[in-house]
Amino acid sequence: MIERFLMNTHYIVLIGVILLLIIGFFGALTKRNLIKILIALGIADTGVNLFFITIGYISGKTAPIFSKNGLTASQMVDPVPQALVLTAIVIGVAVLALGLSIIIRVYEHYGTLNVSRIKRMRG
Amino acid sequence: MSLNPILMIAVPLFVAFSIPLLGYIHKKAGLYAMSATLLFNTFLSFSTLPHAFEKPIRVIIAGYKPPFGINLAITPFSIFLACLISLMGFIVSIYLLKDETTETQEKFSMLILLVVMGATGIVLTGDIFNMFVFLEIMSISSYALTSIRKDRKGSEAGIKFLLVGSISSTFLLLGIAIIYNQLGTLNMADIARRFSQMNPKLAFAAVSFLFLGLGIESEMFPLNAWAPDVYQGAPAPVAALFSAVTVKAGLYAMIRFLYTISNNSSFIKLLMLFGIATVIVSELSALKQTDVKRMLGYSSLGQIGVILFAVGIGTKTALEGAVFHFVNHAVLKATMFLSIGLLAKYAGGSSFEELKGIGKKYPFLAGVFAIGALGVMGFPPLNGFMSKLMILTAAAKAEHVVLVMLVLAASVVEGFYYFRVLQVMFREPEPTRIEKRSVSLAFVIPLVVLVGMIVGIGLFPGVLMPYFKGAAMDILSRGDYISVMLSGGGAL
Amino acid sequence: MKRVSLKKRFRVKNIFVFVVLVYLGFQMLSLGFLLDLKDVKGVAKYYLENDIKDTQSANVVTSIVVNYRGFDTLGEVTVLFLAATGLGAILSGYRKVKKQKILANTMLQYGSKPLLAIIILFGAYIFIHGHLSPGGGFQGGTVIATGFLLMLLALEGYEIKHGYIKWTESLAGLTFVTVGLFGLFLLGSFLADFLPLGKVGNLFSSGVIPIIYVAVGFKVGSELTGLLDNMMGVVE
Repeated sequence: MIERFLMNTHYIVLIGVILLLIIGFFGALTKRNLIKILIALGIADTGVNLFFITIGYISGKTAPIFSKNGLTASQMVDPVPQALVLTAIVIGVAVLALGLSIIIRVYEHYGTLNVSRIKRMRG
Repeated sequence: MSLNPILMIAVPLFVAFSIPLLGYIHKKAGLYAMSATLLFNTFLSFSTLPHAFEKPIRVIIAGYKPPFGINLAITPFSIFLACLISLMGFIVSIYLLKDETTETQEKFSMLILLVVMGATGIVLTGDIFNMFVFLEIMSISSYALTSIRKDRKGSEAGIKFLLVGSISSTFLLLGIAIIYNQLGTLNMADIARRFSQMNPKLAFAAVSFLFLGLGIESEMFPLNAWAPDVYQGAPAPVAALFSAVTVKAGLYAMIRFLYTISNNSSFIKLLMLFGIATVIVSELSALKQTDVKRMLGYSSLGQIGVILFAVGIGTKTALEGAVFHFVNHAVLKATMFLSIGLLAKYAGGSSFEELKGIGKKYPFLAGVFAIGALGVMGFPPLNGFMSKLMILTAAAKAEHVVLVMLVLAASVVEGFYYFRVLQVMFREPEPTRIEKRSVSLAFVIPLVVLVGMIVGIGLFPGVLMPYFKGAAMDILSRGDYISVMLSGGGAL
Repeated sequence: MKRVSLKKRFRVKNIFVFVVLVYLGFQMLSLGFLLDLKDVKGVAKYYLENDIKDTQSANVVTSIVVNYRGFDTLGEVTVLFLAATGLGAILSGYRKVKKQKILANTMLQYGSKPLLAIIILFGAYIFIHGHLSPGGGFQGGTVIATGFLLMLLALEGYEIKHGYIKWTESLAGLTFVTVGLFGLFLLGSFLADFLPLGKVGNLFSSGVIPIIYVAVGFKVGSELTGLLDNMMGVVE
């Protein structure tokens, strides 16, 4: 099984994708600091972005740009995941920025970033 | 020839981008522009409604036919929800004209406009990645709106909402990536047509990821722990908007995905069980609340559970009941959140302690709240009764008798805690610390309209019945959706 | 470095979460074999083969982002706009103090000003040539924002006029929507390309794509600069 993975570029990257997802979700579920949780979710997001790029990549093909004469469509990788990942990255940045600003406010009210102490609303 | 439905998305965007500049003309220009835009959306969606019920409309964007470009899929169900969403948005926006939730009025009105626009985009779009983008527009503006007052509760609820929502978007993207890898397309009709060609294991993985992601957006039981916090922490008109608009869009995405795209009967069955769990857990949690707004949040989750349950049954009557309950839940919860918001503002808080005897000081507002509560409990002349009856009859017909009993038991619990609130409001002695203030007309008009809708729908449900039937047919007729969207829809 | 006891480091819950995640990871890895990674198929094949005919843009990713799936990009720009708006609303009311604990050195203070011009030029180059080369509005806008980040870091008390940011982001967004509406009124389809396409490889080619990408570049640049400026000032 292992050899089959290492034979192919895709599968090496795929291992990276899964590692990023595991690290991200592990951090999000076990860390107590709000900023660390946000960073962990950002890592998981990166994993997904890498996954998109992986499914668009085809071994031995080039970037989808008609930059010189003689390049034909059949020599290019899938361009759609690249376009989608652009959107996903921008959305990730937006969520991260907004999250940090809300965290600033949370810190102002609670004086801590520890999630186990930010629990005034319950029941 | 009427206006192109794409304007329901393009015009709010245009206005949202120009609101910062409108601030130079007049301080409140942004608020009025927002309200006017939502009125335009309401008008446009209602004028498209009859056309879409004749034959679903396909609106092509950028001139490329599906599956190559993005298109809007305006089917009976989606346009019906678009009408509901823009109408509720407009009603709440009238209320906001006089509301002083935040000092950043300009940004506030932009965010409100974009929440409604995002929800409209979700129900209208025919492309799964585009739906994800609109979902993100809706959720990001929701995060900001939740914590816009910059108080403690709002910030705490906002960050919880944001973290959970960000997990949801990760799952959604994973699911979409797997689908794209297998089928090479993102158009919903094209995916639906070829869904069975996917490798079954990967199809299962994709459906599970999307189910999890959309389950968070539609506030399904194990994934909805953030929701009561948000309903409590957000400003009251925003909470009204959440329960009337954003949840509806999340539920739409769930239904469209499970019924039209994947048509996976085991996940639909699962929805029924999760729905029941949502009803029971949230009604029981509502019982022990001491804050009325939080209690309303739990009660809202309970209603959503009923809708999920009805969607999970999957018969035609059950789906008609579910669509009916969509409308009722939106109207009732908007009424209650708006009235409790005003009462809490005058009383200084929304806990039982602070609301003691408020009914005697503000009989109109408390009366509106009471009508909403009676509607939710399902008192016969009001609208909540009919839809619950339809759902329960359908469930009994589908031989889920135990589940019907559970929903009925939950309704009894619901009646119990609402009566407790009403008792606190009306039977306690009149408080002396609260002074009587006059209620502005901008607050009264939306409440009167909403109460009119509660009573009107309750008395004449037959007027809306053809629309419920059409929407339910639309949910079930998967083949029609595919053929219309891929080969050309009806004319405008 | 704070010492953390071994017991705290390895909580039972954490180990449990780790084991579950690793198990799920292996499951996903086994799914990885089933992925179809051999050839371009579906809509992507159509895009690659018809890109020149449809849009005359050399960069296929650009024509997907701006033309075929332009509606997504409009949404994406809106998301950034929302983030900037929401962040502004949530952080409003803070008294902004822009003080540096250690002043940037003289080289940085003087060198950053000419660098800003070069960085902006480079960013503009990237977004103007989005349809010819790798790059585009988002990338160019981000490069421009890094220029302003450099200024904020290098110069104490550096102010970016809020009015400029406001006008740029609003006008850029309005340009995008207006181009879309032109397509709707002239050709009956929102965001349709109503300009002559030109010839692939020329700067003035591929219809509305460069116009939209320049607008996106300005919008992303101003939005990100506004975000940085808002975050930068917060000192308690």
